[in-house]
Amino acid sequence: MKRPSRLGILHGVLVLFAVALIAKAAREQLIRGEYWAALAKRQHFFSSGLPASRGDILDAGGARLVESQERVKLAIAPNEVREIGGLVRAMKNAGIEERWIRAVQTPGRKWVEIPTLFLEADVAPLLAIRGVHPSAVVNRIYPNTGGLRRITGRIDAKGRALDGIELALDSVLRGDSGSVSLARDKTGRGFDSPDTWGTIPMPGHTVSLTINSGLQEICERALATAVDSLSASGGDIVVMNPHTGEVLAMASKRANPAAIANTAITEPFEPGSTLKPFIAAALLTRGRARTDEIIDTYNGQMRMNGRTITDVHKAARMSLAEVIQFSSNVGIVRFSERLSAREKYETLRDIGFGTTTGIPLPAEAAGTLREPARWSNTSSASLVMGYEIAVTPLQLVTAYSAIANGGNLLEPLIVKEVRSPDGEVVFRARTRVVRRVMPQAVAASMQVLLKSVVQGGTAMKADLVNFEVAGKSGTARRVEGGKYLAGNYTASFVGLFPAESPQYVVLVKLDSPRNGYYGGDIAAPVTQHVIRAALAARDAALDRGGLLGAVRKDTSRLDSLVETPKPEARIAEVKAPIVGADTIDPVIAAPRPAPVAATIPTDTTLRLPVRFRGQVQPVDQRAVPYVAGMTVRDAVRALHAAGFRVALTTGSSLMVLPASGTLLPAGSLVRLQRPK
Amino acid sequence: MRGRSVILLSLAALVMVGWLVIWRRSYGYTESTVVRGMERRLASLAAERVKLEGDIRDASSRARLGGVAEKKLGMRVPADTQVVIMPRRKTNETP
Repeated sequence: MKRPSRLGILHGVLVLFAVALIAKAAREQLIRGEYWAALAKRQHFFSSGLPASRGDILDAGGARLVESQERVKLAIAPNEVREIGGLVRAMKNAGIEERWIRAVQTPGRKWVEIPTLFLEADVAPLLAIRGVHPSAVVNRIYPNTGGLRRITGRIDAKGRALDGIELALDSVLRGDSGSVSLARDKTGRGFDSPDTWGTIPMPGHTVSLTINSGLQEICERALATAVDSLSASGGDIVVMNPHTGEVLAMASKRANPAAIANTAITEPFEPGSTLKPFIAAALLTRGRARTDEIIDTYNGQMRMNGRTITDVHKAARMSLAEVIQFSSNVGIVRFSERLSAREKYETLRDIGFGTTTGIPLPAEAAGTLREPARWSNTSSASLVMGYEIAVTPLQLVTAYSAIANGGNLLEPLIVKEVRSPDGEVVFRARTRVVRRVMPQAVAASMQVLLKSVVQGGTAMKADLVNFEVAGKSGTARRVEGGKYLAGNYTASFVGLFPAESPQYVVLVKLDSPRNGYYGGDIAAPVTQHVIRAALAARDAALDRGGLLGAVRKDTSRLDSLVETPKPEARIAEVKAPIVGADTIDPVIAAPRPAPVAATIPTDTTLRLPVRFRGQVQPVDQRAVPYVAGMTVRDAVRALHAAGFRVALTTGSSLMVLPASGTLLPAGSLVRLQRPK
Repeated sequence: MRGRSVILLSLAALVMVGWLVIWRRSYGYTESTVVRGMERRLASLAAERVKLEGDIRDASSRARLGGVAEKKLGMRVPADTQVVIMPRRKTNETP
């Protein structure tokens, strides 16, 4: 065998080396190729998350209530900055707080995150500086009105839904986040490359609510004025379309600004007399009473199971219609004796009390309605007077909507429709009848009874001149620490507007008012103001064509001649101590029906007073002149020339109360407020 | 000579193809940077639009204007007697 030459050995080694090299290369490329490709990808590219834009929340008319806005959050790595002076100048120009400017100048700080969110245009010069690391953040813009925010809810800094619609419809609103990969340059900064890839973020769906923002503002303003004027601890207003169940407005206010819950659905209260119509409806439905059936009401005082039940409007006898009209506790307790405990319970349960309404908002309270087995011997009487039961304002409005729409209990709607980002309707709310709770004829009778409450009963202050309003007032003692506190009331009024074919059911509830407490005296005027403002508003979810048919034909009543000033002024006047339900209405000049004498012979037919409708002496009505821009002297002269007496007060600007244009009888006293 | 020409042409073609690939990628980088910049600008302007719309909404809200109208201009919510609802004109009626 020939010995291989040294050259041959060298060749052989080289060949082996080449083979090994090829084998290694083949291994790395063919077997481990994917591993190396992935490693290279990780080194050359990096992925950056793209937050999805959260869906907008719109009102019923399409106006944006909540929307998303892309903002920039800045983080600065001082070590990477070449010229710290330039960075500081750019930060000052961008209006960044001094403490963050100091932070980036602090020796040893490697990373400074500024929590403020900026518009990109405002910090554009900063973004060009090396060492400044921006990250896109989707910011949520909420309405300024606190009441609306209680409905829409909020999200936290990390984009997590906290409450309201934001929480209830989070899966619909939040969308799907995307990502983008960027090529990495030698300094580690990302740049776009044709080789990059990513997924496009999918924006959230757009949610349209049934809320009418114009009406919502009217309610919030009216509520704020009422709560402030009456020194109440809070209040709620809910307006519902009784034919569809759409919640048109839902305003809540609490004296404590930290209370941000939507109390119209979370805070049950004892409704007091606003519950009586449902007992009357149950009596009519079961044929246990007629509206004109008269019963002894014992001059407004009755003892029952060791407890005295009293009336504000005392009378010896009353019909069922008058029991509702004058809110007789004795009368409703006596009539309700014709219903068994089970029937009372079932009536109230069927009308929706004691269970959630199903509105798609979180934390809705069910209220309290106890089974008859858990009643005490006074519960039956308490219940029909609106005590020992707790309902939310929304439940009460929904229940009254059943009276307004002919007897159907509807599921309240707050979400009108949901649209995908490309505009396709993915959900549209439909009116859903939960159950029929009273026959149509009974609902019609109840509407007539409720009309009498406003026309000549306990809530005349809710009435309008051109339109008829129906409704029921309620005044209930409030419980604190398990006890009914003296002088601490919930005043409420539920109104149906117009009385025929109602378009609104309006609930006004005021908690612990200090300047008055009867629902008919302080909650009814707020309802009247809401309706008036809605009539004057461009769009407040009113069918004006339908209203034309509801305009009063007979406006010859005395109060039709007298205009009332704005409710703020009325509420302010109510501040005077209220003696009782018979307090003289400070503004409406129409004679309030005198309460029936406490001692009425029991053998005579009781004729309760009705609103004065006879001929009236013509009153010399004059419009309060326009004084804006005048000197005080000229304004006084103008007011005297118009036939008014003038009282001077001081304030922030020159203005007249009642406002200019108000019709008042000649010789009336008007207040002229002069600037300090 | 023919063989050398073929090699030369092949090399030239190789260089040309290589140059085209590099040019295409460079063009892609530039364009994608421009596109990304415009997208950022669009997002920035959209954010500004949202902010301005919100400001307009707040400024024209009843809560803001109502108080001003009442205090400075002496305006008030009209009574229902002062609101006139006009019946809708039928289509065949002439104005």
